[in-house]
Amino acid sequence: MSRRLLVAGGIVMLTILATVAPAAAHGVGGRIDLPLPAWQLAWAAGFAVASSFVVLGMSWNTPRLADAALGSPLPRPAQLAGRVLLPVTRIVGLAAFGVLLYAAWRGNTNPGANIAPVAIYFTFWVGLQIVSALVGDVWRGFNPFYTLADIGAWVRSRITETPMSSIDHGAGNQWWAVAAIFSFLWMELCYHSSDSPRSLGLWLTLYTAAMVVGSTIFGRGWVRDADGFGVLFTKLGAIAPLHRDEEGLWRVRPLLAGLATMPIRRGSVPFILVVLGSTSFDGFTRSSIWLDIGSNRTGWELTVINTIGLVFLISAVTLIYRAAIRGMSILTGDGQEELADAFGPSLVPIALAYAIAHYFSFLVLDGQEMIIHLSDPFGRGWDLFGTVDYQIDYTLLTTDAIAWIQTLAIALGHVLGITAAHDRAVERYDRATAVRSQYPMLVAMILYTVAGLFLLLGS
Amino acid sequence: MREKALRAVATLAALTMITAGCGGDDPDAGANPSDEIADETGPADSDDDEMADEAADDDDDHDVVDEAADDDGDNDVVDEAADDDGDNDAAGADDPVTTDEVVETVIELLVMGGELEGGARRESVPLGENVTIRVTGDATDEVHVHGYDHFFAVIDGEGELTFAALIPGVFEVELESSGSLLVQLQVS
Repeated sequence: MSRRLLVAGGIVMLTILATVAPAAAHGVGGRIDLPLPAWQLAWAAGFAVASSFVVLGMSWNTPRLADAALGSPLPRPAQLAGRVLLPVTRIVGLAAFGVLLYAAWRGNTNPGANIAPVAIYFTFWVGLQIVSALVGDVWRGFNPFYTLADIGAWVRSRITETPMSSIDHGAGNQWWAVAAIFSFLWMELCYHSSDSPRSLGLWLTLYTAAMVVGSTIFGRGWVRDADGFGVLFTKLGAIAPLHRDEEGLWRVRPLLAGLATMPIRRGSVPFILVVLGSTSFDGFTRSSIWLDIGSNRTGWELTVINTIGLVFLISAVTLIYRAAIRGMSILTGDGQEELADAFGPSLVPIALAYAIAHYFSFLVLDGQEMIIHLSDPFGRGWDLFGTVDYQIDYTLLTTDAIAWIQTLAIALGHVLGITAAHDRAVERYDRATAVRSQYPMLVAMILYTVAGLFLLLGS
Repeated sequence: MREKALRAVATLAALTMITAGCGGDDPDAGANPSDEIADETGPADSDDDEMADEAADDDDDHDVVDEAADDDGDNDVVDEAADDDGDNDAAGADDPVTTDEVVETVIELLVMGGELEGGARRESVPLGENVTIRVTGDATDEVHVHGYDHFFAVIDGEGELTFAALIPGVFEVELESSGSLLVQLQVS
């Protein structure tokens, strides 16, 4: 039933996109990173393999992350500041959403003269992934979809005269979020005029409509499990030191600890794999292999080829994970589904590492376009802050610095992933079984890391 | 039980090979920069009175910038090697570039039917040198050099642009209206 709905929704979306005039492709993303030198790649791969065995051999025999996951509360003034700030961030989030929606529909159709593509693809998508993992799940404070759902719930409670708390059901699974994030990734990476402001406006409108309709039917709790961005940023936020507990208290905890208590529902692990696969695909499209496959295709032909590539890489990433889980199941005798859910969170640091390795320089270099766009968001010749003549400084990060950030991100992501998985294992099994159970996972993680590095080699 | 384990190992091994295969190819496969980049003297449209100068520079491979005979034209593209006399947005169309200059990397692109003959490829250019992108063929379009954000017109299959490659990175060069990728310019 829901699958049929998805297919129907997909067809409708394709039909509408087909009628939107394609604009000039590629207004965003001016510069691609240099290929990583081979020696650096060998260094990182060797480091990953060696560190894996160090982690396994450590005297880490009892689970530590779960106990540390709650952390200690921040002092009262900070709690108070958080409470005061929340309405402000909600309003800021809704206002920014409004500006972007307006820019996409009514602003300049040239992607280079419209704030929406850069703001959505760089500042929001890449920026918030990094901030979520380093600071905490800030999107929760800004999320305009929550705000819209809250407004919807309030209106509905007024009409039906029921208390707002009675219409707060969750979705119970995260398959909606998988569909939601896939629609965004498809829009960004597959659709041939992904940076056309009007196409982006249409996509954003459909996404918003889905969130509003869903939360009206199922309650505002539904958005928590259906907003693909919220779900991703929350998962990344599990790595971060700052979080809010169930009573709304702000707490600090050690890095990574939240992964141990991350709630996993149906669809959660596929969700992580979809994000991981999409970043791999994006890296793949910048490689010279892809030049032969995709470069001379334009229009819908390109979209189709891209879609096949995206689905292929998501499948490959999933297959590697399922193979590892299968191996683990053979070694421990536990069920595959149970294991897949238990070890899924240890993929989150890998997803973060891929995102940093592939997108960090975009955020810092091409993201500077925001300085220009903020002065003239709709491309109408305004100069609100006197910054329209700003020139992107592509030398802000040297190519060496970028290469090292990429290598270190991948290597560290690998270590964090292995560590999180090891912590799960010693929680479930005695020491000997725990170490043995981790061999398949180790192979999978090394595969991800080496594959991730090869994608950065760009060959 | 054992059979299952073996199958799992075999699957992993196969996946390893597939994944490694993706990156294992020769980086230059399908793109032979050394064949494609002709190091040669200035632009072809040298039917003006400075032929002699050009001939004199003939053998240099590198960016030898003659400081003489340059003017202070409004050219901000080539800012360290001020080697021509003005706008080079659409060289070849209206404003022949003076040819007393520099030897530079020239990338020749034969564009037929909206696509690069032989498919898009990657070209390496040394950082800091001048690059000329010269389009021939049958296209009438605009070419966009991403990152540097230079545009130049190609009219009836002719158009070229010279600029100093001062930003390291990989940059896509596209036919703007069709979005067709011509070259990934690797400046390093």
